[in-house]
Amino acid sequence: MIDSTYLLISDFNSGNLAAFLRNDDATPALEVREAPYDQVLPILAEADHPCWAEGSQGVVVWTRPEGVSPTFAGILRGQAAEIGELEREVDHYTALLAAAGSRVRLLCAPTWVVPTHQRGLGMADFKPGGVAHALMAMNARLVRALEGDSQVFVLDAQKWCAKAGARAFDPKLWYLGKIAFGNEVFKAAVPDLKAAFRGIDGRTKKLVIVDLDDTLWGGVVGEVGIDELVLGGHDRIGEAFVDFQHALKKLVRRGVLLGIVSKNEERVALAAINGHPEMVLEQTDFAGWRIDWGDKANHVASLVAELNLGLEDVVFIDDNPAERARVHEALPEVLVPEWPADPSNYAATLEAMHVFDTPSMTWEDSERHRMYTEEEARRRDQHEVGSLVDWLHTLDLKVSVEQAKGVNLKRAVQLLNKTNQMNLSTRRLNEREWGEWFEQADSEAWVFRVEDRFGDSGLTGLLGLEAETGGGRVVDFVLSCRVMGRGVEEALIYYAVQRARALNWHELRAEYLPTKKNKPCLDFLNRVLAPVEDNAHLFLWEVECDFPLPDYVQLQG
Amino acid sequence: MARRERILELVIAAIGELNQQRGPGDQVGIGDQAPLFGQGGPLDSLGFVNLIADLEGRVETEFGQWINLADEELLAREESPFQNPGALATYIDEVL
Repeated sequence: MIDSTYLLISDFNSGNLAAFLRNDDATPALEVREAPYDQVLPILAEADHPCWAEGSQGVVVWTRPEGVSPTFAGILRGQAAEIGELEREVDHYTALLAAAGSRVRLLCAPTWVVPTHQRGLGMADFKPGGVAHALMAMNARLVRALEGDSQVFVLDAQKWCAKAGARAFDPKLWYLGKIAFGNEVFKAAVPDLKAAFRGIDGRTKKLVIVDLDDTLWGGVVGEVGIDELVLGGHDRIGEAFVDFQHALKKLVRRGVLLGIVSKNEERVALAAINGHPEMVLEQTDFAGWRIDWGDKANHVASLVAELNLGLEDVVFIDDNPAERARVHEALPEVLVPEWPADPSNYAATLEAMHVFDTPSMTWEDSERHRMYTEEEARRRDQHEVGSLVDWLHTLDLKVSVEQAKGVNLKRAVQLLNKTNQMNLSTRRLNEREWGEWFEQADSEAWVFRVEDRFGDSGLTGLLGLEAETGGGRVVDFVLSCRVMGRGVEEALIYYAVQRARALNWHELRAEYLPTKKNKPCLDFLNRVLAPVEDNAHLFLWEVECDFPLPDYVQLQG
Repeated sequence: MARRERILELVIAAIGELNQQRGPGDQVGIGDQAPLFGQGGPLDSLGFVNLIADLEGRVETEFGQWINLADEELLAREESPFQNPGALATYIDEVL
């Protein structure tokens, strides 16, 4: 089944890239269309070109530097060039890319490269007049011009060429079929292009669960003790484990959660994490753990449930092939990568994975770990208080609401695209699309921030409302799983009813669009609203009736 | 191993490379008489270009001799050497 459509626009024959994209097994499954060959600038410039009418969600615009810049073409032929002219040509091209990006959800533009046999001026190639000098200036200008664009992403084609090695460029393919790169380059590009699509759709991995012994450190801590673990020091394997921990820590800083599932004694394992002087990761870096002698597949499932995530959000890393096989077999949705036997390759294997790409970093991403740690504190606290309602009254829960716009838009769109469970309609839109929707006269969008005595959960809810005949409709009702079950859902509906009154709507409708994952939303709606007769997925609220705001929620704004 | 047999292995390897960019139901056959290019053959012009670019390189690496497989005269022959892997191996063997 096709998930998305990519349009390829290129000044070379992109048939091979199209074929590799179509036949790649990784998600999303793509339908790939090729724009007419070597028509890049007219296609980018003309918004009503037939290519754009076909409704592709993503575009790859892949050009050769000499195809975009006549000045650079002259440099390749050894002609003198004026750098200002080169910059004007790049600026013209990047303006066209930005305009084209606004027509789709995602535009990927690989950096410019030249064949490796092209030595330019040799030792003087990074001096003015050199090919490398001009190429670097062009790429730097391209990157700078598009760095703030939320739809256009420059991808590193040099990396693909390096991976392809001697097979990156094949003059035979160029002269026979105007194919600018060897197939190894296209093969290397496909995972990055697909990762970009998954990133835009919010289909990135959110949790990495790791084993401990011979995964985070060398040796079995329960047998050799903390002092004899292989970690750091003047030891090649010890250094490799430290670098692997640094790679995991980098993911934490990008907003990916860490968990532990390990066969160990919890007391001994936590003592090693907290006590070994070369540990990079700290106990607070882990959002949760299951450390005992139980079945790892069961533990992965229960940890994922505790963190309110889905199994498809998870990567499981274990040095033991039998444990990997067990988790893979029992939980096929979990990504269980083949793991190298040599710890020297651990960090590189993790860093090469294509499953963590996101289009941007928000405050919530960088703070996610702290928020989950606070959530763990809430769970412990709730357990101590006993009654849920009594506990909710102790939270000092504040929900603030503001209109969707400006600085909150990036995070709001991320939430819209990543949230699965408490999501009424599961619309997937980019900033421009969502902005265009709520800026219409009969639509509006609101975002909600949640805070309690344990900490600030940030922007975790959103509401999209739209007028329709006789009333209004809740189009987007989205709440992060991090704050579900604390009365924030009710606060959103309460606010929707308040807005409906202000807009003189008589009734408010909410149509639930089922997905594989948003049943919690249906359960909530059934609990607080009533479905209309003969349609179990359509809910109605008469606006003249008060919708109760839980008395433990303070709604501000 | 006879030279033609070695060449046939190179043809099959080049087809294998080509098949990486084709779907499971669209694989090019590797049998001696499996149709390749021309009437009833699975290769379009892009597939043909990929195959001969790859195969020319393999033959040159193996035998130290470049042969031009993109010769229009070859395509125009009644008994085209591109009709199946066996015919292609036989043709390259004759040229070498």
